[in-house]
Amino acid sequence: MIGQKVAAIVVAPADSKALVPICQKAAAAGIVVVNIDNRFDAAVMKDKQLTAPFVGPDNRKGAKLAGDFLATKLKSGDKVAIIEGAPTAFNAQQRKAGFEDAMKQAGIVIANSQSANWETDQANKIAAAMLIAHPDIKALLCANDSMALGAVAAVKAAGKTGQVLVVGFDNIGAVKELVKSGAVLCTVDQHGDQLAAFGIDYALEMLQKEATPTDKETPVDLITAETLKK
Amino acid sequence: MKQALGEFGGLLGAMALLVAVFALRSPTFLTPTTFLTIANQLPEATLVAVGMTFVILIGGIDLSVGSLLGLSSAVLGLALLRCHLPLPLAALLGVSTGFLIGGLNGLLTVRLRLPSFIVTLGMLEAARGATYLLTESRTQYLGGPVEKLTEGGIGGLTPPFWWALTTVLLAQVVLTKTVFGRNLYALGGSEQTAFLSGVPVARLKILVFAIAGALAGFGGLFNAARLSSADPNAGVGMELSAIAAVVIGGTSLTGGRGSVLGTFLGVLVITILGNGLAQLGVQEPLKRLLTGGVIVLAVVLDRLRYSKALA
Repeated sequence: MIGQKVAAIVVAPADSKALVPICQKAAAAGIVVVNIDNRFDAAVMKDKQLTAPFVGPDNRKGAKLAGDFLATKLKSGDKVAIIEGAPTAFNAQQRKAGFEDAMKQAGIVIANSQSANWETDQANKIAAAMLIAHPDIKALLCANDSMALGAVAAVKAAGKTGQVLVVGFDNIGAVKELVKSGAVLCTVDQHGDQLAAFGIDYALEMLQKEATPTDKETPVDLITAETLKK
Repeated sequence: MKQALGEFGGLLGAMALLVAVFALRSPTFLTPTTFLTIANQLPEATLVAVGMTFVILIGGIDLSVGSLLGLSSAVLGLALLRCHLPLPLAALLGVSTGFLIGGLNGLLTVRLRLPSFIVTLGMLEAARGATYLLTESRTQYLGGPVEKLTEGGIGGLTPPFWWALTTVLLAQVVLTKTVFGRNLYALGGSEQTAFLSGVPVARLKILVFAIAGALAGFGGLFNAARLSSADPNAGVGMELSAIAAVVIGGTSLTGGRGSVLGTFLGVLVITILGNGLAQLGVQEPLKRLLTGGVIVLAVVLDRLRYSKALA
């Protein structure tokens, strides 16, 4: 792409470190580089002297939104558990941190937190074990909706529907009915499908204005049974 | 019974040890709920591992079963949601998918004289790709229709558990009491000898891979039923835990020796371990370390006992 002399590259890196050097080459060739979805590692960027604005959602803020909403349904001192995404993923760590922020603020105790690697089946098994080991937990906060589906099935199998609330993240189509019925209390929409468009818009803006690039945060929205009615 | 105790003594001992350790560490582990939960999580892993036992017995390997499980559950989901087919028909489509692709694995292995390792490694990728294509990489929520599969049951144990248990017993009888079963052992012992003594080697191989595929298909069905949804990532890495279960159960990786009952115990060990570690709240890195350690340890214990029995 550098060879093709494109004007801008919008990159959603799967690895936050490995793609930095090549993007630095592009930037050196006068190409506008915009980083979306997964943020480049700050230390590596500094080392390679790459400046590329990050356009994307604040996962921690999104998770805090969902956690805050859950907190309105619980009281201080209640216990909950977190089902994390893949331990190595930056957004998984951010979402966990956001859930923790909200629980801490509301005085809710996190009795347990384990990774289910973003997967429905693993989440189902971990949630089932959590419900046995911590029979008094009031909610399961899941770092994505696929895992929330597994948690909902575990809650149902344990006969605790209604007693244990489930929180998801991503607003995938599969949870829509469950949010409406209350089986999933809420989820968070980061408008992932529009992320590339946000990135391209921003790259075009940079090309026109030639201003110093700054990071741009994309919207995150809380999705509940109420918001789906609208 | 006495014979079974002798054969699986080491494994049952290891399992008792595992349960004892978890019971000591967690006050909630030694409860009926734990064991019902574990039993109801077993079916898919059991079915896939039974198929894997057959394949390994004839000296092959099937790395595609996890992907076939995912593909079958995706097909089931689409048939229910998009085509609005009734459950029995959708289930048939899902299982047939596994059966046909499994058969294709066998056919390619036999006709092209390729190692099953390579053929099924290719299928692992291809079937997962097909699953992502079909589902657009999206999880499908199936809800009510598919949950019928887990309704009913006896004593808190869901129908899939009973189906899986029946499959284990049936497979064990087939292996030990039928010509088909004896032919599998013969084929695994020495393909040359089996061929010369009139065993229909090619047909048998294809059939075994088709059976493994079909069992993965049933696994996909039960997986979807337990989760009320079809996850395009369902069954990722399952081939490895199935192989682990088979080996823990005492089946030789070079073929010709082993049993389905042993495999079932192997699945139990792995599932108990998973639930116990999760109840203790052990974090992912340590979980993986311990799971790997227990797999190797269980096999070492079993081999020690086996070599003693021979001596």
